[in-house]
Amino acid sequence: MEKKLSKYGYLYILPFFVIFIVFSLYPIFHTLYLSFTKYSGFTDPVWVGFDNYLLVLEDKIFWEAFLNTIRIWGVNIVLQIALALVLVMIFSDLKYKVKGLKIFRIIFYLPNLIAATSVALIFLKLLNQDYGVINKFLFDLNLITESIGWLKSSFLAQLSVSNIQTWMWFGNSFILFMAAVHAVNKEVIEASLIDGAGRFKILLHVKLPLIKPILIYVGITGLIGGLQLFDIPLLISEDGLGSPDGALNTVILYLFNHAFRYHNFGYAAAIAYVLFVIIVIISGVFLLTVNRAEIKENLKKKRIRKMGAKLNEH
Amino acid sequence: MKKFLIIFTALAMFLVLTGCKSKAEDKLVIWSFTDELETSGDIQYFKDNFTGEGQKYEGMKVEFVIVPTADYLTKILPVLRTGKGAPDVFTGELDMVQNFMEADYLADLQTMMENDPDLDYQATKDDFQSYIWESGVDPVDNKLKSLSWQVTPGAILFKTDMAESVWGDEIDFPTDDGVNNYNQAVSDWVSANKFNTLQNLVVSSQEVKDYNVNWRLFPNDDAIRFFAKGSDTASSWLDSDGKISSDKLLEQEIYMNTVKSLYGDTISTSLTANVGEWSGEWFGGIGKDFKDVQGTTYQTMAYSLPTWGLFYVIAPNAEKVDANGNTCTLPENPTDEQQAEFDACEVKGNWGMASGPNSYYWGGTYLNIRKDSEMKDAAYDFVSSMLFDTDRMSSRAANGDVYSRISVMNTIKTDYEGYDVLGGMNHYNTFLAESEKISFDNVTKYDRQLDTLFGKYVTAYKKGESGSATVSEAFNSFYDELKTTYSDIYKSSGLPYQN
Repeated sequence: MEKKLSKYGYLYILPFFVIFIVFSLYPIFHTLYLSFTKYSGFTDPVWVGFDNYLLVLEDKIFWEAFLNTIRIWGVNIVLQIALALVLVMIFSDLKYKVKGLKIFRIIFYLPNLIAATSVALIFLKLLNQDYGVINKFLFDLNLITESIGWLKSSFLAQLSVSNIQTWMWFGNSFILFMAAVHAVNKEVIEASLIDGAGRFKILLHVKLPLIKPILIYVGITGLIGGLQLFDIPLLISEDGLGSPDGALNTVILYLFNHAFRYHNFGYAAAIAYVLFVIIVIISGVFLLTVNRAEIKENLKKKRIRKMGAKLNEH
Repeated sequence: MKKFLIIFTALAMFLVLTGCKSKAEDKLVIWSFTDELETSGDIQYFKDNFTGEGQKYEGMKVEFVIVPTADYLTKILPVLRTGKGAPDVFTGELDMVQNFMEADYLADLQTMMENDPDLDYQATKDDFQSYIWESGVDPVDNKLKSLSWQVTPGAILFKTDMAESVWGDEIDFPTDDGVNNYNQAVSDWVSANKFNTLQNLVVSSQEVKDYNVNWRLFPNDDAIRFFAKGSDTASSWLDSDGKISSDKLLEQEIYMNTVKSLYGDTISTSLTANVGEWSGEWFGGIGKDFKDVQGTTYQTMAYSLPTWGLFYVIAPNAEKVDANGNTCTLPENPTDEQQAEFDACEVKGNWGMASGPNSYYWGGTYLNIRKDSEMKDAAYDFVSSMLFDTDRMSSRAANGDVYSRISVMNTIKTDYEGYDVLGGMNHYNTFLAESEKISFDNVTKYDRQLDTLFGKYVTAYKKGESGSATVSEAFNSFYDELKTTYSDIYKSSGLPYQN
């Protein structure tokens, strides 16, 4: 017997869908439309077909921006996860039972709560070559004899932004990892302790495999966020265009400047879609590699089931 | 309960989608990217004189919306396109006005003026600074569509006492005796001898540094960006065929090399102080001095700023001295006593203002009426109260604005007794002389964007970055980006140094 469903239910979920369509779906498709046009924002968009996409693929600066983004993200994600894992190792140690986890959790998470504009201003003050606090500190300690241009060479500027990102986000990863480690059955860890595993071995061979889903989650969200890196480079690069030497020009910063500085909305929209495709591909490859073993297992099971079914047919 | 919930949801959705807005019948909506219409009392003046009891628009509401400059175009363009919730009057800077005109958003102000029985069109036109008037004319139909009440010419504001220390021994450097106004005399001298060409700016920067290793002429090389043109008869970014101009690009080469000669990695190797525009040190230099990381005290002599810069940037930060001539400083978190002591100090009055290699303007707010506005009469009366009511202009002059109306300025200029920050010098004379030299012939709607885009490679060249190590490389990197950014003005051959 079929249960009668109330139609009112649809009404209750309507607001979400209307808002989703208006504020998410429509902009997504409108951007797609714009990416096929030349549009300055002042006059009507003019259809240009795939021209923008061809330009993006040939655009040296776009690909440089992409490499910059990957470099900044790469250093950041390694440092961020390593730092978070070291902290997890310390705070989840069964023997030492470090106190004050709650307070440290808040302290580590605090940088994430500061608005990016403030973070950028703070670091501009800290990193300034002639007037910055860090150089002043190093001078006072007699560690340097000539001031260091933290934001003046490509390498140092990218490294500085990576470190700022790490500082902003390691607390977030730490909290996620900590929650995952807490969910791991303590008996497993105690058993490995009794078997004589050291702290590092427990982290590497017991904790890490058990929190793999969270690691993947942090990896993928970090990747998506990292490829969309924008606010800190915009505010910290001297001209807002990615100086020095274009080293802080990230894909989204390039997109932003095309749209809002040069009034090239069509081209900016095409950049957005190219980046979207790149993110989908990279995330897909990433997921496939880390889950290779599981996928293989699943495929094997499927094949066995299929073979079983075939045998049954005969 | 269920029905109540459904009605509530429907109502909520309706409000969300309609933006909770119901447009009142009689409302004049004004948008601006600055708050000056409010702080200078223009909105209030209109309300008091037009919307009160028994007045022309009795009971009409006036809504004033300020949108920060950075978001202004992003917010105003969609509403201008659709006309929904669009303002009747809106402001814009010169390059925005060019774009508004091209998109045909502006009402024909000229015809409205011609139909105004209380206004003599020709006389009014003659009374406006010509560059302001010309910049508001739509090239398509030759009608005036946008106009500004102010002019914003710039100058090089500098400290006369520092100039005297450095150049006081040179021939004809003015002395105190027998001069009507010392600051004016020094300003005239540096205008003619030190700040008159780009090359001289480099030489002067070197002289200042040679005089005192901790002194700099400019806080940074941004200060000379206004002189990239090098002369008042400079080329336009676009040729008559609408493509990028080779002449303009060649002019830029001189500027690029000037910037490069001023540049140094660190403050000790640089001919400027390497401080960012609007940074704490930049402001510190306006007062007296500032310190670098090694604790060395530096002083800067000159800042390139326009009319508003004198009143809102230099004046509030200028050095103050007590009765004995000692610099007054206000400690952080001052006590009432310290505050009173500081307030009792007087401005030192050591600033002068000189002309640079070419005249320039920075900023300037234009008034526009929307073409499809339903409140055109009221919009015109508002705009008219700011542009054509000369009595109102004169009474508004206290805020320091320099007006685009010649007759108003002539009166103000003559009656003016001198500005204390400038040691009693009459800044109106210099600013008006500068604004008369400004020509609108060379302005294009691409100016701001191309200045930014080219500026990026000027910076890369001065630092010797890869891809821009030589002039030729810098130009070609610029062409590469120009091709993707503005393909319609790009030329694939015939440009300077083009590969």
